[in-house]
Amino acid sequence: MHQSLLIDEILSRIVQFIAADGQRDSRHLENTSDLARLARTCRCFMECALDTLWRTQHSLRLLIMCLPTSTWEIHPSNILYLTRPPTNFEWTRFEVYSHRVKSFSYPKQKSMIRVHEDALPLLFARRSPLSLFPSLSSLDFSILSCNSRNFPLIRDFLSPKLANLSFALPRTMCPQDICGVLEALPQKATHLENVAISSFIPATSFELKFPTRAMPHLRRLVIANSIRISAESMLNVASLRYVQELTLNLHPNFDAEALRDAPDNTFPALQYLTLSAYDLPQCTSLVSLISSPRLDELSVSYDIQATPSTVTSFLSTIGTSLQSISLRHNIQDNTIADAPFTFYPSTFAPLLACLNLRSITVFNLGTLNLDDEFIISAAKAWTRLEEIKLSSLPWSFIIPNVSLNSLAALTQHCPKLTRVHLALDARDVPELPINNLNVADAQPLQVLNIRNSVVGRTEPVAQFLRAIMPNMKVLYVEGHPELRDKWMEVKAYYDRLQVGPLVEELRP
Amino acid sequence: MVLLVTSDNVQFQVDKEVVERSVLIKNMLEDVGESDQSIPLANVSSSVLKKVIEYCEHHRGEPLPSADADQNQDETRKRTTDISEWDQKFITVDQEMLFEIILAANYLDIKSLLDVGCKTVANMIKGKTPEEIRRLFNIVNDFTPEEEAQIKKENEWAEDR
Repeated sequence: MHQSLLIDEILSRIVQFIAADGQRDSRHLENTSDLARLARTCRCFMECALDTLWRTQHSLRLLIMCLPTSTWEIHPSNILYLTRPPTNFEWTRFEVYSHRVKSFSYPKQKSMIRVHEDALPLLFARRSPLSLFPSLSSLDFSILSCNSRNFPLIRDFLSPKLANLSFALPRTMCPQDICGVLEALPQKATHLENVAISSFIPATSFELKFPTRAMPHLRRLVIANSIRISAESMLNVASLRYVQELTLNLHPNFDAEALRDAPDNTFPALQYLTLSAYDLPQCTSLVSLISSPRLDELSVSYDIQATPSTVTSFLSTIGTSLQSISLRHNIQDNTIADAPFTFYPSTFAPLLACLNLRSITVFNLGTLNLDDEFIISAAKAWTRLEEIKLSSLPWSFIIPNVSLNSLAALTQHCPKLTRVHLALDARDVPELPINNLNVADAQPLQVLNIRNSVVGRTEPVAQFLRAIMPNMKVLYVEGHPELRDKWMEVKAYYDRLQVGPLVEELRP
Repeated sequence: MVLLVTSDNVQFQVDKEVVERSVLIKNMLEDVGESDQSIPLANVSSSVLKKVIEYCEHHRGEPLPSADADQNQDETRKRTTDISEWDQKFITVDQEMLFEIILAANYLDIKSLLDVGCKTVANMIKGKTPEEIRRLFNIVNDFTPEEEAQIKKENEWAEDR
């Protein structure tokens, strides 16, 4: 054997290339068979190949099956049971592999054989997870167990090595167990960077309290939409000094006033915020308290329709440096009973000062009654724009004052624009903006959703679209069948057109 | 120009821009500053250095992967087992030379060349049985039959897929 294959760095590189063959998801190995065969070649190859093969596990099944067969059995229902805790001498083969595991993560195993929930307490009855998984840095506990009784076991996996932790609150919640796990995080998992908490059932008034200065590495905290953290806990979350990415669902009783007297700065390092709330004013008051100078992305959704002045008030608090804004009204069962508010351009005027915007979503707020003047001003202001989605409630019937001129302005002033979602009045086709056709070939706009835009003669519209956005791949329509058929005619004609000759033909 | 001296005492005059594709040499030149002194490469023979210089000449001017290249870029690089046509032709050499190029690329810290070499070896391994891999690289089987059977059994799940 050549000496280069004895150098760890070289061998590891070769193994990584073998492992990566055909891999689509970095969390899931595809080419396991070549690694398994390589592991049987010689001891030198075995170590490196098995390290890669066992690095990420999606269940405890394979590890349990390395224990002596007297300790486990598979029932005809394809459930793997542990029959007794392994003795001290029975762990050898388990540990050969468990020491290599760095991550338990989704996707869950595809195998038909499922590990019974009772196997976990038996497995860890005499040996702690820490001694069995000394390399573990990423744990999604919900792939190991979703059972309430096993929930406290999370504490036994916590170590300074753990950087990523996800878990789901159990169906039957024992507040003491949850509290025990949360309290243990800053004490035992001192280097946690990412924490994600989900729940199988809606959880209201969830208490989430970390000592503010205890987790200096925590950068990302994601609390699933089904969990509403208590108003009191917000004070604690707001003062987490190092969190850059935060996803939260505000409690209906949340009152940002409580944060005004917070001793520390509120959200001092925040860059990405995703907020769900009962109403928009809650979000407005929270956002107004963010002290971070680096907030880049803000996504807000709320349940109760907001008036235009409430929306303007919110947009006035977001500052001018945002790169991405998403404002979404969640349609509720009773939303249809309320007449939608109408939003005129003046509502969104504060957004025109956000010159760094790359993405904007305004979704289901009510009836958007925008006009060409606003969209053209926006196109000139948002020159870095990559995606724009302006969408009324589905049952808002209004013919907008936005013409194809607006679309032309967006393609003209926003050279990175790839997706547009906007209802138009396409009955009149304006004259082509001939001066801009030189750059049209490089236009990256590929996806156009024109919702329920009205359209007149289809051929001129297709010609116009072909001239201003020659690289369109997808045209979405969300109107009635007759309207949809007309737009499909536009798309069919568009596809038949050759942009070059058309542009030449249209030049003066 | 930079003067390189190989393990078999052959001298090579190489353009600075070309030779600086090696992070090792680039750092050496930065440390030493402007100098006429030759750089001894005790671990690289003249036949191997000739090939390495041929590679660096061809890729002259291409951007070097930065030390702090983001993870996505690294993942993409790892996943791309394809080798460009020129690199493929370049690396079509006998096995001894292939491993010597890999060793030299590792020593000289030329990541892209190391990748080409390692991808080639990875492609040679793919689809082969342990016995075929042993024969290919002249590897002695140091497992007992029982050990080999045990590893096979415990990793059967991986071979089934």
